[in-house]
Amino acid sequence: MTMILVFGGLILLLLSGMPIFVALGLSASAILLIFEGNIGSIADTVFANFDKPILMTIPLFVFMAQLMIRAKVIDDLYDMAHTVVGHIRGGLGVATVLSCTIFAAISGSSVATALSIGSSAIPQMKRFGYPERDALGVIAAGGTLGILIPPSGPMILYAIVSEVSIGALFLAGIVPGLLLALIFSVYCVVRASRDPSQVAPDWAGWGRVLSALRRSIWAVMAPPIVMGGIYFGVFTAGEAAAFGSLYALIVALTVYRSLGLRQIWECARQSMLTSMMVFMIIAGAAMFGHAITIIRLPMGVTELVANMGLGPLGFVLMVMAMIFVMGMFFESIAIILITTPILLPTMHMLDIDLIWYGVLLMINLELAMITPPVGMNLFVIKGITDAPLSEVVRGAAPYVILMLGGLVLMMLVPGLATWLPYAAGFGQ
Amino acid sequence: DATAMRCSHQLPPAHAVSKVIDRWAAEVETLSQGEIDVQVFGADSLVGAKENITATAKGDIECAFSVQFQWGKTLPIMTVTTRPFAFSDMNIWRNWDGSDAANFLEDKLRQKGVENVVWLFQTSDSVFTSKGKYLKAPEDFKGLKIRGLVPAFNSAIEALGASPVSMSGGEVYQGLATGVIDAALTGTDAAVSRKYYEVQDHFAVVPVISVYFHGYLNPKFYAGLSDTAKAALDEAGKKAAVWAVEEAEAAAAAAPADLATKGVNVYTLTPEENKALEAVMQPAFDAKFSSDDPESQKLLELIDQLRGQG
Amino acid sequence: METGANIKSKGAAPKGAVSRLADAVVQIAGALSTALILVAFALTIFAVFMRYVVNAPLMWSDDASGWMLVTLIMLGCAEAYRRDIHIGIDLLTARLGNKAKGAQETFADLAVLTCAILLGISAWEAVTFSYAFDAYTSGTVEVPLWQVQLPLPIGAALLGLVAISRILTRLSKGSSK
Ligand code: NA
Ligand code: NA
Repeated sequence: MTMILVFGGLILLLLSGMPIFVALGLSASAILLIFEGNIGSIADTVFANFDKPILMTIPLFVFMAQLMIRAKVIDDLYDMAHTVVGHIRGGLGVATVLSCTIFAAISGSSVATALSIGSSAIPQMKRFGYPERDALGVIAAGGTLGILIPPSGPMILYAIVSEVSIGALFLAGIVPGLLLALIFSVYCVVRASRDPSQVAPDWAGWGRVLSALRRSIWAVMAPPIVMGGIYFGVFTAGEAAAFGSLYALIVALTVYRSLGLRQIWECARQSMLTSMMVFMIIAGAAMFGHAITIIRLPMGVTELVANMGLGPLGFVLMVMAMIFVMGMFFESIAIILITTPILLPTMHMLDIDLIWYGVLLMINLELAMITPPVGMNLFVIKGITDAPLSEVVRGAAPYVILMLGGLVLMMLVPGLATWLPYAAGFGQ
Repeated sequence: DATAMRCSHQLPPAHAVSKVIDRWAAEVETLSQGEIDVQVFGADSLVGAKENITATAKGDIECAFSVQFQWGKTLPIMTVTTRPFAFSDMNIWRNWDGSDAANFLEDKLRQKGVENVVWLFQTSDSVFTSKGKYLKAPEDFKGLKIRGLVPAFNSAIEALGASPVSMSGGEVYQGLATGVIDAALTGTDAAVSRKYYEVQDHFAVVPVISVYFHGYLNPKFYAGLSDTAKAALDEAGKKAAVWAVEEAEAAAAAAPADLATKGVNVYTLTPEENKALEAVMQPAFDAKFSSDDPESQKLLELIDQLRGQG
Repeated sequence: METGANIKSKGAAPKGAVSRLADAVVQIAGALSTALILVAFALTIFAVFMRYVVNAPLMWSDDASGWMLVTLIMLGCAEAYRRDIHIGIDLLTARLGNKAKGAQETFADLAVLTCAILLGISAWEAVTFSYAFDAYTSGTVEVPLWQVQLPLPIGAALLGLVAISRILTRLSKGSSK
């Protein structure tokens, strides 16, 4: 009953069209006022959720993207992609999935990926005649791959709570992550080939490909440089955003010579404004999460599922269904921290492979970012385009189904996740 | 009906201290004859480690557990056991609950605005983790980047010629893996639970600092409890303090072997090696941490009384 | 994306003094927020340089960037809201007529104002409590907690200011017609 009131109230507020962070904040305040008699703790919750150096990556990655957009580095990159894969129907979609995969792997942040790739790629995809809804969907979904492909903050958190090896989990995420990227790519190609409005130009020939490659070399170099910096221990994944921005700044100033101080300030201002949308929702989601945790709502549901007396596969199915529903309303960190400790004893009892479960959990948490009503990547895409949210939701819908398919596949063939870590000697 | 007592802490559920907290919670419920309904929220799931103290003192939640470092400059005397090599005598911890030293600190906490109800000793065995060689003599530390702890202890690390690096807990594993930092200092148990053995290969066990958690209540909430409930908290606190020391001793005994089974090199420093590190680290720590103020002196004397009482 | 421009073009009536003052204050806060992003960028590069090249890691940069983030968010959110850069669910409201749309927007602004007031009260309580408790931040840098919490009530006040200014502007627009 409490649950219906809480979530029903939130949905009503959201539908009234007020800013999402306000709907979340007001729901949280109402819950606290009713059950606690005061709203004492909401400011502390907001402070605690912002006082995280790692979140600085969000404005800095957007800053990097802005620099590359304004310096026209991104234009060259997409000219290159169009020259190389443009003759394949859906090729641009595949190229975008690839850039999302690489960027997500580096940044470890789905929001940063959707923000950076989205703000640079969506206008470009439109430029080359890619249907808008498809462009919105592929970025929303492609961005989520960040937590499945290592390094990944949520994986580390799950590993510590569940006492699974972090290294093993990182390895376990690689094959499913690439597999999902492959599924997304195939979908892009299939969808484009069925769309008669999409006419693909002829193969441009090696000469044009080479010259396009030469022009885009500076943009293409960014990922290996940033990745190399992390790999060789120069900077942490969290610091990579600043170095990406530094690289973009140097290229813009010395190679492209297209930026002045004024434009740099404009880039920073734009990244400030864009990040605010995300930060406001992070604050709202934190308040809402805190309020329903304090009344033990998610704990109650999780305990219910844990005590149902199901067999291993039935249990995992039920848990995944529950987390899918939770994912409509929560963000990933809260779900990991609330459900994992409660489910662990039952998982130990049923002898469920915790590495395998971790991968299933990560895919489900990726889903949470693109399922309405509260889906961070949906909001981000909506924020950086003028598209109505319903259009973003529709664009992402096929990917929800594809990811659910991927989730079921991982459930039926655990080896996809566990083979690599076991082959590397973990779990004996 | 039962009064809800929400207790927040930062530890993952499988952590030894986390298990003691769960046992303590059950004991409080039993002994209070159902008057208190203890709801434990671990792993930072309700309130973060940094916010536990103010959230409890303010009354947003009723109860929390913190590790001593969390008090920092807010109540520096709580961090006295961070002094290198000064508190490795296990008798201090076996005799701790109800001692004059404990009462002295409980008074300080009460003046500050929280009511202490339980002391949970965690460990006196730390481990310096590294790659390629053990960190066992002062010269081994030269030029290394080590994850820092609290300011006074960091100056002790600097005295060894190493550079403390500030890094959030979530980034340490990755930082050790890529070499952004070279080494870390952690509890022997945490070296296992945080998987440092996957990215480091040499572990030097050393009794350099003593780590304890303690549970405290909002004073208003505590004052509102019945005498039965207060007695239950007292009794459960006594028992839990003993369980914590037992767990800690068992863990300390088992941890080096646990680490060794992960296929890494483990070495326990000899008393002479400890002395050599102590000679460099303690003066640097003392210079930064004003352990010569009368209050700290008094506490140190009270603690000294606990040594040697078998 | 820059839908802030649309609002201005819609408003035929000149903005009142309150709104113009609010705009100016919030714009300055927004500029500070932008500047902080550039500072954070430079600081991160500098910190890595000190750690990797000079081998003298900065102990304060990590903590400082967390507090800078709190500050830049709380200073910037009102400016974003003033420019209508925020995300709402437009599933139902996209089909509203002009009059209903105005009512819906006023309702949303009132909701923002309520939220800002609640957050402001809670934030002020947090700051005064930390001050009275003499609480310090824990970690490698120990500064009074209330100082790093101070951007919270300030940000809530700025947000409330924008909400009031938007409501006033809409009201005066309505009465001038
Ligand atoms: Na990643
Ligand atoms: Na969702």
